[in-house]
Amino acid sequence: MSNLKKYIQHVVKFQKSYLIGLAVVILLIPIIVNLALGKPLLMGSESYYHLQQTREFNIGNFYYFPLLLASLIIPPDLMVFIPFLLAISSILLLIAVTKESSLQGEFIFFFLLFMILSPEFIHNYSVLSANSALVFLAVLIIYLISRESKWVKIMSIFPLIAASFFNFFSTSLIILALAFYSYFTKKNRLITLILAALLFLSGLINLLALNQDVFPIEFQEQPLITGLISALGAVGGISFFILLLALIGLAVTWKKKFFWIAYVFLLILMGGYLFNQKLIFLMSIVITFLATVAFAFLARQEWKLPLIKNFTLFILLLGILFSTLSYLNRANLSYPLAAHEETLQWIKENTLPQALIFSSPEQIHYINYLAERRAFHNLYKDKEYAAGQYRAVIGALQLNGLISLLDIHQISIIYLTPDLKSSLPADYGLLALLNTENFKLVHSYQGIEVWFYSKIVNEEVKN
Amino acid sequence: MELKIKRWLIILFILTLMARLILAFAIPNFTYDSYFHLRQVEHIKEAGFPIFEDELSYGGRVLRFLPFFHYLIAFFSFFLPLEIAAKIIPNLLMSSLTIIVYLISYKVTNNNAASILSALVSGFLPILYFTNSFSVETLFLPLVFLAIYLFLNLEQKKCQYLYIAAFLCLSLTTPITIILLMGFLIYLLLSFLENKTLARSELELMFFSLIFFIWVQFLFFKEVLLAEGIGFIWQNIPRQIIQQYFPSFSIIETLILVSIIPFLTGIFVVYRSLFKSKNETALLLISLAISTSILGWLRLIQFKLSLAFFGIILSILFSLFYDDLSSFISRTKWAYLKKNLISAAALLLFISMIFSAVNAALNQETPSDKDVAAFKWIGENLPPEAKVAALLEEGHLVAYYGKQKNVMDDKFNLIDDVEERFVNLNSIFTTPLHTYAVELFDKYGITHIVFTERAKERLAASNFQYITVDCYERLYEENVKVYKVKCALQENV
Repeated sequence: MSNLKKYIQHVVKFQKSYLIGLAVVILLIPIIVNLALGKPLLMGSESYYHLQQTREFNIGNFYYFPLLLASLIIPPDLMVFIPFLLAISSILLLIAVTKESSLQGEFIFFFLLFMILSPEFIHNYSVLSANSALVFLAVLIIYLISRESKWVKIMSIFPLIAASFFNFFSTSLIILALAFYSYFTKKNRLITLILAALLFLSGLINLLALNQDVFPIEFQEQPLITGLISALGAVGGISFFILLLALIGLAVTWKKKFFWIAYVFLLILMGGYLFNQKLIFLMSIVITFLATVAFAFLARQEWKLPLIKNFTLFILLLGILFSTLSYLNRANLSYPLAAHEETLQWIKENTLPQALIFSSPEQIHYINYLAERRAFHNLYKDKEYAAGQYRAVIGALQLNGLISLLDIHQISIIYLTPDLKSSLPADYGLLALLNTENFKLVHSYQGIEVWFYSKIVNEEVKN
Repeated sequence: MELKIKRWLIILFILTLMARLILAFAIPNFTYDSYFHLRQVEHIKEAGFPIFEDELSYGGRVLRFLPFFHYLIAFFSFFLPLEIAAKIIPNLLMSSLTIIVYLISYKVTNNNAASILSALVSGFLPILYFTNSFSVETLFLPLVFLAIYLFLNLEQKKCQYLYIAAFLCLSLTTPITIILLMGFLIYLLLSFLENKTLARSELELMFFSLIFFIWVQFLFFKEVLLAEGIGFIWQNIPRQIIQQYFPSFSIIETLILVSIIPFLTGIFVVYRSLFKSKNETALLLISLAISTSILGWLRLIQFKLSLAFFGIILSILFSLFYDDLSSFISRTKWAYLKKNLISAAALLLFISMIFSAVNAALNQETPSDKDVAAFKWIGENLPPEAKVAALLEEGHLVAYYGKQKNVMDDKFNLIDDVEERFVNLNSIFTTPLHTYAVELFDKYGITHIVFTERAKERLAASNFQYITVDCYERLYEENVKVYKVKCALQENV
């Protein structure tokens, strides 16, 4: 045990190097996997959504200017290093901020270790995600406020205003964090309160004048439980062992004075998660915090059976690592695949710019950015209506019904991915109707198909 | 332990073992699901590993299960022929329950007579008389009660280590070990409600058990969890037969399978322990009974297993009842009856259970000798590329004796189209339409079809309805019909 303590003391002493090293290795794995498989390095629907926003840059989305600037300088594939750098910077800033707090070195080390190993962290820092930028800005604000120099403190106004452009919910969380910060640290109280008020004002203006969303934009829809736990196939998710530890953390910290802040954040984020699954990343931070509390408690506690203690802590660490490796193991399956890129490139080069593409909702942003075409779902702001029409098309049983839907929405291309195909019946419905003379398979690559729908043929049928 | 008691216990163990073995060997074959495990053990014996990538099941699929039981039996199969070991070892394990139940009961009551009676109840519980089932449950049940016994004796260092060893084996035997963890959780809750402080070592071992169990399940079932999400709990069982796996609770069936005396006395003891006396050890047993009831009720574990576990708990609780009863009688004017009480109780229990136990054993669903002979013939005569359609429950027979690919068996996890496949497999046996049947043969690449005696009984028919001389060649000229499919649907060009 004494040896183990020595090792822990060593890694805590050099935690900056170890944690950054670990983060670099973990975040490089998906990049290397993508490179080896010939996939686009930039993963995830969200990345392509943000890149498309830079293409459609205007006064309404002026806050995309920094990303626009980056996209002009950096080739698209290297954009993957933006979240990578954000991760490293956020970790460094967090170490700097927490160093000055009353939290113990071991606690900070394990908290950051669990964060880095969390599938949700890896997911958010492997794609161009709003979450990664938001966390970076939030930590930067706290870092700047906690500096001695008044001018540096005032500098925090820039990240503060930038943070208000994400969504109203995130803005409110930062305001709450600042309020707590001012409550606990007496020396920066006035400046923090002023900044919180400014942020609130900026958030309010964004909400009312720029029609900003209350919640972050969602890019994947999953059942709530599945989306929460990484082992159940969540896009990112939290390790089951971290969740279990967090429950123990709740029991351990129950009625302890300082921890009510964690409860407040957890309750707000859990409530928000019911409406918006994108909040899981922020929720995972609070859950990881509580899990670290539990882990530290279990490690410090004198056990009657010391052998069992060591074995249990070892299995807990293995379990957390298992979620990380299991998630990294799935990196090769993340979209877009090389076949998607090839097919969308084909569409870009061989179809008319005004062509409208029908595909599953998960493909919208890849179609927009890689094929430079509009997807069917882009047509309607009313998401319920678009989803209803989408279901009507994929569920069409009669040729006439399908044709009339395609005509109404002026769809000219059907982009079928293996996922979409596997969700449809093979012998009837859309897949069977595609084998009629109204449709022509114009491109097929590794199971991905592009079908042209021809209205002329349709009219001939009508005649 | 007194010598006299030891002797009685050994007699009881041998009696139970004899009864079980006589029944096991009197019934010629194994239950249908046993053939899956036999195949796994055989493969371990030959290759050292279980079949996780199964080329025969469903015509080729990935399988995930915990292999400790199979390794254990593979070890014994080096000394005994597999089919003999598969009859002797599970029955030996189940008979060992008498000793384990005695030990737990003695720990609870400190009364030898009561504990011997509990052992008797556990030895002849009708629900445990699946004598021809070569399944993981035959290891799980004794092992889980051994773990409970060791947990109750944690104050001894030796028991701490033995508990850890037993729990490691359990975690590698079956995911149903969750019953024990759920029981611990309820035990914690009940203890909290009763303001009882648990021993630190108990809490530590409970936590360790939970963490270790979850970790092992994640390691083995990673793919299943990822593919099926939270639905993995229901094992991807087709909706049409879920009722068969998780039938609704029936009080009559329960009374027959766990026997009326242990059931009624058990309920009485649970009531007394929860609301009147405060027996701490009984609290753990009651927590386990509540755990299995909840899991069974929520359809998270199969009804029969839940009932078997519940039955054993009831047999232990019977010792508490007997202990109370004998001390009550000794306080009455009929105290002289006490010396005959144990004989009377033993006789009453034996008579009330033995018939149901034998009946339960005789009613096990096993394939007939003729069916088994047909599958053996398939194994010897069909080409290796054949794919054979048989009833769902006969899927493992196709793979074990027939050594051919089957269309479906009862290992449903990780199968995408399980419901459609189930409907189609049934259609192969019931459709009168030749074209439809041929379409299904094409779809699944079926080359041969089998109509067994079991199919005759189940479907109340004597053969497939669409058989014609042109398209089907009968290969096996016995009661069981084996056909080669000669026709295929022509593609329209």
